[in-house]
Amino acid sequence: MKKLQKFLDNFIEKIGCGTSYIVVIMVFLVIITLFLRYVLNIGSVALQESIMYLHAIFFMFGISFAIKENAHVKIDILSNRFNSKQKDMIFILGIIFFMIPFSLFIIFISADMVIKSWEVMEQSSEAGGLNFVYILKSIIPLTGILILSQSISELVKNILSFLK
Amino acid sequence: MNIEYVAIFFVLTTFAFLLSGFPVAFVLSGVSLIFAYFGIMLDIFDYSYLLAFPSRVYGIMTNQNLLAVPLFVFMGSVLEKTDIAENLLKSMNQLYKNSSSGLGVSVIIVGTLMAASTGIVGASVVTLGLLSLPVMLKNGYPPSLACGTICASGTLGQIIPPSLVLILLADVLSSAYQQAQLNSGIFSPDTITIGDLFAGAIVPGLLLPLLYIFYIKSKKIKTNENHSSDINETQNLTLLKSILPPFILIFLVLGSIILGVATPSEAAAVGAAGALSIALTQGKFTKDILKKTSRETIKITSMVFMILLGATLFSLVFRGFEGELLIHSLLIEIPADKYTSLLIVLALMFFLGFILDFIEIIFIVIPLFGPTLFSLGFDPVWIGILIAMVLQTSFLTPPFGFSLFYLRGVAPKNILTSEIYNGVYPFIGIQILVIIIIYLFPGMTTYLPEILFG
Repeated sequence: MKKLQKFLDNFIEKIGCGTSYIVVIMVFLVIITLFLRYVLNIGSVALQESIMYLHAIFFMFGISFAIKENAHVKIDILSNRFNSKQKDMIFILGIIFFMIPFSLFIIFISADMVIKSWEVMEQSSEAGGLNFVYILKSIIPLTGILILSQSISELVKNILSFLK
Repeated sequence: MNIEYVAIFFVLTTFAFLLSGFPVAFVLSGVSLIFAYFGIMLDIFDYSYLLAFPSRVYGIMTNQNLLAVPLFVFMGSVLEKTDIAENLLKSMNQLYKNSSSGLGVSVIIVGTLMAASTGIVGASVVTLGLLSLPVMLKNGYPPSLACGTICASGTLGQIIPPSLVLILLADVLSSAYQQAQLNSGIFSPDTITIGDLFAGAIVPGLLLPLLYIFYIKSKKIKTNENHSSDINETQNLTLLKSILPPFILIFLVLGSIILGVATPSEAAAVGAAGALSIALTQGKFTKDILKKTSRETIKITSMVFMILLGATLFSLVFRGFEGELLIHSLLIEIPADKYTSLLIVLALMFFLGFILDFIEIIFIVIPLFGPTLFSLGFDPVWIGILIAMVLQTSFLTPPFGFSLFYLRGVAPKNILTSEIYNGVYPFIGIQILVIIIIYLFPGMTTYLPEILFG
């Protein structure tokens, strides 16, 4: 159990850490877009769409990392008064009834859309755009899988801490 | 059974679980799914509402306006982590070491600059609290006045553009506004942009700190130390060195948006690149800083977007239980006129601001109430600024204001919580005054966007 939890934590840490540098790439790509537009008078749809793709990967893959880093906003007006066992219990129940169902939901509800997109190798709706819409859409179920992985890790963590 | 009661029960259950302390975004999505599940079992909920979710998510992923979120967060994070604001404050403190009201004024000015550059309320209050509070207390400021000034100045980040609040508001408001127009049969609807809201926020955003300064000046503060004006040229130079870079950056970012040279996301990227170059020239740019700021950015950005996803699911399920009829009766049938409807929504947001962060309020409340509100014929920019102001006031209001918690966290133990509360009341008064002025004179917010964008 502990091994699995460590493995999942490490996995999400690597994904989150790697993905986090995308924001730096985005900054530079936007600057290049501006340079092309105002200095060379070129507008590139492909460049703009690649920034959009990067942004989507950035915040979608970051959701699971933010769970690991405990960065999701909580309302702790009441829970400040709970002891640590009570807090663990709330997290165990929350993960089982809210987080895991949501991760499964996002995987299964988007499956249909993603499969259809892959079947036709969906192209960009803009001329000169990136023709990887099927990959862009695949981010949605992948995000679900990442959230599920981290949920399991958090569940183990909280159960172990509760039993201690 | 009347299905609207299920919608009410759904909202109340969600709020009850929000108070459990489990992350907001997952409470929103989880409770929504559980209600949808039982709704489908009982045959009172249409499954197709859930089927709309993936395309909503895809819409969020491809939304060009929301690109500005990580870029602005990154810019703010770089400015924060490289201590640019901190140095500004230190040299200002040095400058005003011996003048009493000047110290308070400098806190307000730095708060305003931090609001415009980083825009992260928590960070501003904490920085001001750590660096200025001790100096103010040493100079004979009553603790309540010092705390009030710091809380109020640090909270300015909400209204002073470029701010995350205004970016998210613009996105949500424009879709609510278009929805309202489509409902009333206008098929080429007007829209509002981030630039509109930024331009609309400038006058109120300058008026507030100005009134704060008047207030501080009107207070006679007895200083402990003797006055001696020993401001020399080197001090002036260091001040200039620390004040100039963030100042230029803010003008560059805001200017390019308002002049229409760049979209908000592009301006944000320019700002981020600018912040990186400031750090570079001051020799503070290291691999470690890059790692820390990127991590910080992905955490904040993903947190914001996850709330957006949760709130999207929440409003889909709320619609599925015909919650819109409920809102319609609350805003159209009960109130006597449209201004009462507006006041109901603003009051609701004010009280929600005690328990929810602005992100949740914007994503939950506006999609639900916005279309009905706009169908009554209000100016969207005016409404947007009113909402931002109300949320900001809510953040300052005891006992649950977020800014007060932040300051409590860093203030010395011998300062009573009641002193912090007493200190902010005058500033809340000033905020309410500005809200009333905006309410009575909508032109304050709408004039600038009109001449800039037509």
